[in-house]
Order: sequence, then C-alpha cells, then structure tokens
Amino acid sequence: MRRRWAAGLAVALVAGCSSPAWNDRDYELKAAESAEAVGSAVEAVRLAVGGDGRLTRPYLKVLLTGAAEQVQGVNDQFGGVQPPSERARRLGERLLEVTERAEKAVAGLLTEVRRDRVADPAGAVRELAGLGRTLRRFQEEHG
Amino acid sequence: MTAARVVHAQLHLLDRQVVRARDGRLVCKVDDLELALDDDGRPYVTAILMGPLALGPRVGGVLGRLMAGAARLLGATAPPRIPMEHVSRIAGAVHVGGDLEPPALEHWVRTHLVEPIPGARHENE
Amino acid sequence: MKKFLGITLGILTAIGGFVDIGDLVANALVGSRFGMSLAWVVLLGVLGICVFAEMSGRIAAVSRRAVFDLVRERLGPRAGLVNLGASFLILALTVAAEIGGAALALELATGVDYLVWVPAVAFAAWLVMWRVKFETLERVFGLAGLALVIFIVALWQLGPDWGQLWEQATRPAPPRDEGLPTYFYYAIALLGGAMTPYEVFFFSSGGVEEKWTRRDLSVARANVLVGFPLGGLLSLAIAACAATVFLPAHVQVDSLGQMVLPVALGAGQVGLALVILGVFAATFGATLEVALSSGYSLSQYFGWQWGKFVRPREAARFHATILVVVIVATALVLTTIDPIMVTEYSLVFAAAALPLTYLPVLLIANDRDYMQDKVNGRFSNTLGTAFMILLIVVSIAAIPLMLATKAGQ
Repeated sequence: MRRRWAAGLAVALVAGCSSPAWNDRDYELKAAESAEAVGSAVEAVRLAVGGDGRLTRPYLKVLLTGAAEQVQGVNDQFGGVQPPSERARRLGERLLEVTERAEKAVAGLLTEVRRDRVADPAGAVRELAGLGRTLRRFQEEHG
Repeated sequence: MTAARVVHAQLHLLDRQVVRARDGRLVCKVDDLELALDDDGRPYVTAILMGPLALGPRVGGVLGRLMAGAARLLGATAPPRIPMEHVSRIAGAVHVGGDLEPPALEHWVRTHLVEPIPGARHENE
Repeated sequence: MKKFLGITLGILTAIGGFVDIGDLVANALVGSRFGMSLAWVVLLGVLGICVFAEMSGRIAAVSRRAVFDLVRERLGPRAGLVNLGASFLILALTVAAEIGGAALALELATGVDYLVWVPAVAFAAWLVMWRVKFETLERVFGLAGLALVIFIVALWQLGPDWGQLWEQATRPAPPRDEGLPTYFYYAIALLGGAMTPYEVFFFSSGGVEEKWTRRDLSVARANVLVGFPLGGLLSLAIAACAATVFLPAHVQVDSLGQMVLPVALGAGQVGLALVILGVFAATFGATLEVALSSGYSLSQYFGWQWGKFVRPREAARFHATILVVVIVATALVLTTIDPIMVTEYSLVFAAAALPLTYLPVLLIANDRDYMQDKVNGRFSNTLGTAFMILLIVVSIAAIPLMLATKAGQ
C-alpha cells in the first residue's frame, strides 16, 4: 500500500498526469510521457533479466518490485485521465493495451523470482525488448 | 611588546567567540556589549553580554522578540555579563579568565537530558 | 600508513558530499539522460569545493574557528540567523534522506523492506556520534566508502565505447531530445551537490576536532587535494556507467536499485556486494556528516561548546541537538516520503543558499586578525572571487529553473 502511494506520487510528479487533459494534443502528450515512463521501467527490467546469472535474488526482487510498482502506477494514473474525444479514447486504448501487457510481464517475472528464479530469461528478454520497442515508437510518434 | 592597537567594538568584539583562556573551552558569543560613559562623555565598553536577552534585541523583529520573550518566560531577568577586566586577549576569539557559571540552558539540558544517557561522562572511544 | 590515515577526513567529507544518496542517483540519472555532457560541471564543482574547503581548513588550523563561527561574525546576527535557519532545515531533511538511503542499501542486500531498517540505522548512527571517537569514525566510514571505486572497475568491465564517452564529455550541450533549461537545471543540481555547504561545515569543524594547528596546514591541504577529486572521480564513474548501460536503452534512472545495476552487469555478484557495501558506507557516513553538521552549525552560531573532543556532558546542547535532529529525521523517513526526492530538492535549495556560506569564508581568509600571515594569496582570491560570481548567478537561477522545468522533467 505504502509503495503504491509513493509510486503514485512519483508518477504524478514525473508524468504530470494528475491534471485532466484539456484537449487532444494534451492527452496525446500525456500518453507519450506515460509510454516513456513504462518504457524506461521495461528496459531496466530487460537489462536486469538479461544479466540474471550475475545478480543476487534479493537484489533482483527489489528491482522488479520497484519496476512493477512504477508500471502499475503509470497505468493507474493514465487510465484515470478522461480522454477529451473519441480519437483520443482510441489512442489511449492503444497505449494501455501495450502498457498493461508490460505490467503483466513484469509482475509475472516478479512472481517467478519470488518463487525461485526467472524460468526462461532469453524468452523474457525477447518479450521485454519487443515491448520496449513498441513503447519507444509510440513515444516518438506522439511526443 | 606590541604597540597598543585600536579595537573596533563592532568589528573586533561583537559576534566573536568567547573562549575560556585556561583550557580553551567555548563559553558563548559576544552577543552584545555593555557601555558606560567616561567623564568626557565618551562611551567605553564595560562588559560582554551573552544569552538570548542580549542577542534578541540585536536580531530584532519577531524572531528577536520571540528569543528574548522565551528567555524571560524561563525566568531570566538580565543577560549574564563578563566584565571587561576578565578579558585577556582579543584575536580570532575573545579569551577570558576566571570561572564562569554554565549558562542556564546548558545546565538544564545537561542534567535533564544528556547525563541520564549512559556514557555521558566518558571520553569517546 | 599514518600519513594516509590523516586524509580520511577529506575522503569522508567528499564521499558524503559527492556520492551521498541524492548524488548517487542524480549522477546516474544525469548519465542516463545526458551521457557525459555534464562532466564539466563535476570538474568545475571539484575545483570550487577545493578552493573553499582549502580556505576553511586553513582558517580552522590557524584560528581554530569553524565555518559557522565565520558566518555569524561576518554576516551579523540577523543574516547569520537566516542562513542558520535555511541550512538547518536543509540539514535535517538531508539527514532523513541519508538514513533512508542507508536503509535502502540494506534492502538491496537482504530483500527486506527498507522501512524495517530505518530505526536500526538511525539508532546506530546516533550511537556512533555519541560514543565513537572522531578519528575512528572518519577512518571507518571514509575507507569503507572507498568500496565505491568498484564503479571504476565495473566501467572497465562493461567495455564502453571510450571514444563516444569522450565525445559526449567534450561537447557540453544537451542531447537532441533534451531541452536547454533541463540541462541547466541538472547542471545546477550537480554543482549544488559538489559544493553543498555541509561539506565545509563538516570539514572545518573536523579540522578543529582533530586539533589541527599551523603545523597541520599541509595535512589540511592534502585532505582537500585527495578527498574532493576522488569524490568527483567517483561521480564521473557513476555517470559513465549509466551512460554506457542506460543511455542506449532509454532508461531514466530513478531508484537506487537501478543505479547499481551497471556494476552488477559489469562486475558480477562480487561487484554487486561491493557496490551495496559502498553505498551503505557512503550514505551512513553522510548521515554522520550531516547530523554532526547540524550540531556544529547551531552550536557555532550561538557560541555553545561543541565537538566530540570533549565529554558529551560538557557539550550538552550540541549532543542534544544531534539527538533531536536524528529523531525528527527518523520520523520523517518513516512517513514513507521518498528519500531520493528529498535530497534532489534540497540540493537545489542548497544551491540557492551557497553564497551566504562561502562569502564569509572568503572574507575571513583575507582577515589578518584571524589568519596572521596565512591570509589568501592572489591565486586563492582570484579563484574564490570568480566562484563567488558564479555562485551568485547559480543562486538566482536555481529556484526559477526548478519551477520552469518542473524539477527537471
């Protein structure tokens, strides 16, 4: 709970998502910022999982917990912003589809690490890299 | 030895550290000065004043009044003074001789807060 | 060996100043966003802190007066009190952040939530300040902080494109996707981190604690010339590691966990263990440095007996100040406020207050009443004056830039 509160506050400051979107462009910028924040967390997880053998389990757990909370925080924040138009709504849905996949992927990895270790590091790295690329493209198109 | 030098009260005395000449212990700051007039009507310094009652008026404003008010509330009536004849040297600090009572706040904090904690009387290890 | 141990004050001071919790993350964040293009600020900061720390160390050795004595003496009781108020607030916030940082390091090592560690860290820090001799304290934590040298080793292991790092460092401008105001905001944060006033509070008071005299002037100078450049080198290594690993992946570092990742990737589990040890030592050392500085500054303003060179009962108000600051800071961290954000803000506020601390140092270093024949030479005065002008510009720009860039986004 505490973590989520802290992550939420950080995201509110980082992405500036706490205010409503005034128009399409404003909403689009918020979407791009959210994509950037999620992309950053996803890429950090990719680097960590890629170096799995070199990291200790407690450390990996802390790192993944932080990333999972960050992604979830961004999703909650961005999901809470009212899209000002139909076009914006579609844009938002397109982004949330990707970021929610990212949230699930990171949370899944966290569960694996809590239990033992990442089962298929190479597969996880591929998936995260794909998500990272998509988010990056989204951010460049709309930022 | 050296020729007598002119000491500027504002520049060389006020706000300097007062140090006990015997062992270098820090006593207080020169928070204010007590002046008297000689026969020709020229002012001269008679004592160093210390503590919130001396400093408060020099800080001025709300904070200064608050400082002095708090000291009065705790029973202080006049700022403690060190007569100028106890001053032995004026340099980066003002060195004074004689034995001095520890200030009221130091005394209170020492007996009520610090001494009850184990190790307060020992040298550090 | 003895000579080497004589410079641990400078090492601890610099580690507490350059690589405390806020700077650790700020350096990594800057590396991950701007590459090495802000390296010049770190070099400038090292030069600036060397100039003023050398003066304050010389003043301490010749006159036994520490920096806050000078602040009150030269600014007068009223402006001195304003400086004291601002400094004390920043110090208390920073103590909170450093306690949180040390607890976060323990979380990285054990996986146990950092809040569990906060009371233990705070108690241990207080106990050290209450019981442990000053020399022991600076040696243990100054030397343990040297574990951060692993960042330099890890950088080698990562095998970065040295040419590219060099190119970034020699082209002081923001990368194309970052704006100029943000660039200067982080420049100010880095300069504020390098020249935080508590470094000279601590360094000069530490000189008095160690009973420096005129004969120790060379020791004082060696402390400055080894300690601060070392701190700057560690800063640069952290930024370079982040620039190598994170910049190409578009990761913007925002936590301690991410900040140590390049070391783990470069130097493996041993590297990870060492870097966590180093982070713990640096943040715990910074806790001591900053908490002691709060006691030093308050005592020196009011003229109270201070220092660890007397029994605690002889410096009752000094020790009471430290105790209260540690308790308040602990309560503040336990509210779950983000320690890293706290220092990043306090860095910028500290930058706004820099001239109030360094001007009195520059003035007293020229005062024969204090310094006799050891007053500043032309070299120190020229550099000191140039930095005063720079610091005044920085202090004016700090807060507006912070507002304009929403704290560097």
